[in-house]
Amino acid sequence: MATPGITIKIVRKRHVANKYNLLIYITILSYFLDVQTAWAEHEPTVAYVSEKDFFADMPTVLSASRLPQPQQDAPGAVTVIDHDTIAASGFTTVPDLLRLVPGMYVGYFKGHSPLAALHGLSGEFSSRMQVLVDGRSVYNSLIGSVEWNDIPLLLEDIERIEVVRGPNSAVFGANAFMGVINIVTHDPVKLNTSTARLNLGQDGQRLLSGQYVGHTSAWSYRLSAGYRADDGFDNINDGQQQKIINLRADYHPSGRDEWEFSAGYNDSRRDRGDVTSLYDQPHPENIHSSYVQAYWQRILAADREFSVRLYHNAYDLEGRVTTLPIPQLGNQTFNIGGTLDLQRTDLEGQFIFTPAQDWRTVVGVGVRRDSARSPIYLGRAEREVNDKARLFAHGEWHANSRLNVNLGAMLEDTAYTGRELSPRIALNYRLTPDHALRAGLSRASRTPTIYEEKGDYHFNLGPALIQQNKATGGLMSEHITSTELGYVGNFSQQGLTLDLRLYRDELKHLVAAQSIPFPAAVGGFTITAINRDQATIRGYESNLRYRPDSFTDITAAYANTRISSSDSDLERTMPVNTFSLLGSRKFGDQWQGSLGYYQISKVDPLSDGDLVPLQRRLDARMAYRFGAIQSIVKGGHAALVLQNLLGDYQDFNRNNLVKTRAYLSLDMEW
Amino acid sequence: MVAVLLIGGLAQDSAFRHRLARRWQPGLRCLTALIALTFAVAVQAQSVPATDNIMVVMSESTDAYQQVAERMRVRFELNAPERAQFTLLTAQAVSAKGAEVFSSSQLVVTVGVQAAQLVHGYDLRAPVLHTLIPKASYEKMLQAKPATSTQSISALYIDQPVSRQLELIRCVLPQALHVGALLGSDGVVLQKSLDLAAKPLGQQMETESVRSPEELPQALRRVLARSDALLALPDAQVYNQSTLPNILLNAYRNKEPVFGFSAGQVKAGALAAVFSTPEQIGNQAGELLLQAGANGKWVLPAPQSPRYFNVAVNRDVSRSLGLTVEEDIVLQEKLKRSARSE
Repeated sequence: MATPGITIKIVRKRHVANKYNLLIYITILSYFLDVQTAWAEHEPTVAYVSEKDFFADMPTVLSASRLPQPQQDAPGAVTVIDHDTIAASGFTTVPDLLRLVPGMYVGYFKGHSPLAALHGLSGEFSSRMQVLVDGRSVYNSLIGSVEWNDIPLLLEDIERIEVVRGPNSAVFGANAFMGVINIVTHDPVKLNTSTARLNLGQDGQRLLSGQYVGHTSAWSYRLSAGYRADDGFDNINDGQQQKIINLRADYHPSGRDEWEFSAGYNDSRRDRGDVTSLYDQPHPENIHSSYVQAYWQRILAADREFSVRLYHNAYDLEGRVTTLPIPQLGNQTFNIGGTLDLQRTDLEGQFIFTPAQDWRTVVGVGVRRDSARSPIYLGRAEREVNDKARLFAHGEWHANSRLNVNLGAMLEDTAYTGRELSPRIALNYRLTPDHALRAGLSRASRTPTIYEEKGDYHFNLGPALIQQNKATGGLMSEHITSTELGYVGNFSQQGLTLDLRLYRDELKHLVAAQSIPFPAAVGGFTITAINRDQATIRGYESNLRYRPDSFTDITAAYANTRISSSDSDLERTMPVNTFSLLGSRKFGDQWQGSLGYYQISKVDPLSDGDLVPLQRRLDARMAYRFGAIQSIVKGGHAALVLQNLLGDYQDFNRNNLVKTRAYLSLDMEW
Repeated sequence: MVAVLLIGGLAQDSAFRHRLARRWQPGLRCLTALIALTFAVAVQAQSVPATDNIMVVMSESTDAYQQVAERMRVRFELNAPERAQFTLLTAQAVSAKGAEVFSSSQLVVTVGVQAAQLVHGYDLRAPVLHTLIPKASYEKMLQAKPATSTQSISALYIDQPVSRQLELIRCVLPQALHVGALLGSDGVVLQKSLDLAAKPLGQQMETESVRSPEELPQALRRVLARSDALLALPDAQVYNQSTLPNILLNAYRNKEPVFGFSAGQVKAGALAAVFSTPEQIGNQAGELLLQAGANGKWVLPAPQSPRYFNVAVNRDVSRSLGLTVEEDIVLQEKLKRSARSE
């Protein structure tokens, strides 16, 4: 406090409060008093700037322990897809954007069901990645996969996507097995304008979204809503509609506290089934998903910070279908299908501190309850609960200006598999301030999902029992041990950043689907999950970003991934070569053009996937930026996006034919 | 008389002052040294010192003020040991005793704004040098109560010239062409000098005014949206202990570096700052006095900015922003060179 008079006043207030034993009350309140009086105190002296302002000791706000690591010191390889890249790509979904990540396989099981799997090993459901939206884990708690089109998330709300390639449980917790996708939405504090967007295109592509931004002195909020629809692939009943509403409100009462509240709701409807199928006739599937989240961060001192995050996700799905008359059952029709109700509640506390100079440490504890209720998938009306608790610690030792050591571990205790430790160590050595080498070793585990452990997917057609799946339980966790060598270089003169990675992942006890005899069911067999497979994944990856001037922006990614496994099916789940190149250039203030090229070699995803040949895809976007219209609109963009200019290719299976298509986009700012 | 007024008027014009300084400073320095030397010799030879009384009034008796006063005395006595007798008092002591304490003072030096205001109120006949005073405060003080025609008043500012701060931004972030600044109620005055200083460096100022605390978050948001770097300017209305964390955090979230005006701000999380320590101000004040008293009477030069300064860079912040920033000392030398070539 610059003026002693006020300091005394505050001290006195605190003193009085202590006297009345309102300690807790006043600890909270006095902080607000501090803030208010801090302004008041300056009023009488406003006229004169004092020399004291030059010598005042300021509280450390951005200490080493709070600042994110530069890539040169990070324990793993990270690909960042920022807002500019998102715009330039012309993509309208998150999985499409992930094509820019080296080693990521992106496919569409149906037009409405994309999947993204780092290093493959996946079919329709990719269940080995942690996906976070503003710190909230969104992977499905029943099967561990990510239902991309059911997340209450608009692409327009995304500021950047960070993809950590490689296991990272020590920092990102459960399911950070093959990698982590960390989606960060726009911080409302930074937004100045409200926006609206309209996309119209072939194949029924429609999008209408709006974002309203407001600020008061301590609050910043963003309300966004959108409607999205498309018809999916040709000749496949896979259209979809999605309605989303999101609210995020950030409260900054002071520099010491930061509150973030958010809530969102998604209502999607997708078409499933096929006229030619006996059981799976065309029918809609309705999904509602929602979340609420609160996050509080407090700076305790220069190098100590505390944060708490609490969220709840809810997801329900309903799909019902009437079968065709079944000849073997007297030409009767049956109503099958059912509901799925998933909940996740997660509470996590984290403490960042500096135990010694050149160290920064994060320790935290979290508890999570995942639950599922689904008579059809779990074979019973009761809710199945999967509780998990975790303890984690991560330390970064900045040994000297060259050597940086990252050490971390997570101890997880789950209802299904007991305690497991996921440790990690990485050494980063800076050859120069801009060029660093990295060596890392990490181990992570993935606990079985509720469906893998407790699934009982069956339905009756009159007297006939159709048993799609029957878990036998007692599964172990899957384990991964990953060794890597990396290089991160920043050629600042040239505007080039380069990231190279060479790795070897050993995976054990991979959960696989196995046929087992089940005499009661039609056919006498069913499927269960067992820890059957092992795999070794070897590969190298490179990622570069080149911005030679303020007009040009080029990102490129290449990966060579080879899987050898006890199950040869797994070996084909990842294209050996994946390549992406996105370049954009501004022509003057108004025009921007971009071209994206994406190529993956042949791949054969699990389950319903087929061996599909090499895919080549070229996308182009041309955008025009316009200025203010009257005083109503501040400006905006009109863009034409052409996708897949090189002609049809098969995606995921033979029936999914990706065609050339175009859409127009108009966005405006207020 | 007319000529004096004319020159005085011209000297107010900062551009002219710079030109003047450029032309005369090296010469003046040599001259000062020569005179000081002659004087020292003379003192030794004749040992008939013309001892004057210099009254030093400090805003407070805390370290920073003591350091300025002490360093000034030491620096002065190094060259002119017997020329003057220093008396140190706090503003509090002076206001208790009244203007009589100055009755035998040939020169008064104030350290800090509070001391300056107090002494300025006394209408002393002795010349007064205000040190450790922000330029804005000095100018405002004279505006509120101009010096009488017989008074000789000058200042040694605590703040760096805006051009030096912008030069630091250029050295650290050559690509930052849009420099943001939040201006308090005195903004209009500053705006012009900012624009003037930014132009030759190829920079464009993006300013927002903050007239009340409620306006700060909005203004900050607007300025961050338009700028590549934020320059903090000394104005307690905008930058104080309670606002700085928010400003730094918001700027950091925007990946925008903040350039501060004090070492404290760099510690707090600003990327870099150019600033003068109390010792450096004291040193320069001592030299200024040697120059002022060289001719046997006290003739104060025009108000000046710090000649000695340091650069500090927060390495955690630069590391985290992914910036490669040269060593503090290298930046300091660069700024010194460009200060000399001005």
